[in-house]
Amino acid sequence: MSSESQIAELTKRKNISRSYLRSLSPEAKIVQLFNLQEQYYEMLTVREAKGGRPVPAKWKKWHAARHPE
Amino acid sequence: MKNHISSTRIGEVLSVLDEMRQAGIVDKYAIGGAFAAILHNEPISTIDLDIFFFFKEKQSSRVLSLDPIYEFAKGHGFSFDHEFINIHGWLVQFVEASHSKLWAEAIENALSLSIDSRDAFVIDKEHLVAMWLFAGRAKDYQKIAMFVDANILDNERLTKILERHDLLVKWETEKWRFTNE
Repeated sequence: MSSESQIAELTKRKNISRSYLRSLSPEAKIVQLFNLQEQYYEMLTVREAKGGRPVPAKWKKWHAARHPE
Repeated sequence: MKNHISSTRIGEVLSVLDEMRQAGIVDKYAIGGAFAAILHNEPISTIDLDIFFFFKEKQSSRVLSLDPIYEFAKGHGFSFDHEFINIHGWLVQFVEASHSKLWAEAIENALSLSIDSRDAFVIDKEHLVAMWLFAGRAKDYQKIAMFVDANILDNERLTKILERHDLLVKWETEKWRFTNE
């Protein structure tokens, strides 16, 4: 497969995925956001644990709100 | 992922907003920012829920105070930290809108969506784009680019809004950031 056709295939897949996400109900989109937040926070904590930048303060606030002790 | 709560609880947040209206604190309100972008388009990561609103009673002080909102939050056991009020696990930011003609118009023209069987008022796509253009941060331009890319804007409506709020020149100047032109 040439690189041009690979790019075309990836673009097609991306568009299918995005149009699926756009077609979701508001509730389903909010569930997706909910999961995205969890995944993003997890990524931030892993980055910090590996010596990278610390988890931003606003994300710490988010975590404290979402996961009260 | 630990301690997941099973529901997003967004319906409960909308109920709290209704309570604020019934208590005579908040008049009209509309969801804006990235959360509104998600409802119109596709999920993106954001930590907060922006609520643009008018107070029911006009404040006499020249400096706007959000005390009535914080008093309500305290009375209902919601904690807060600077700009965020934690309502059922969501960080909600209240933005009083009466000082901005654009924000006020956005609230007046908000759409009503049913979410978790409750009415939610959401700023429409074209007003969101005008508000992001006005704010002009990188993350605002990214959201405009998403809407342009998704081809979901009513361009005639957007142009009229930009004209009314003296933003057409800025659109022309900045559009290289979010269109292919």
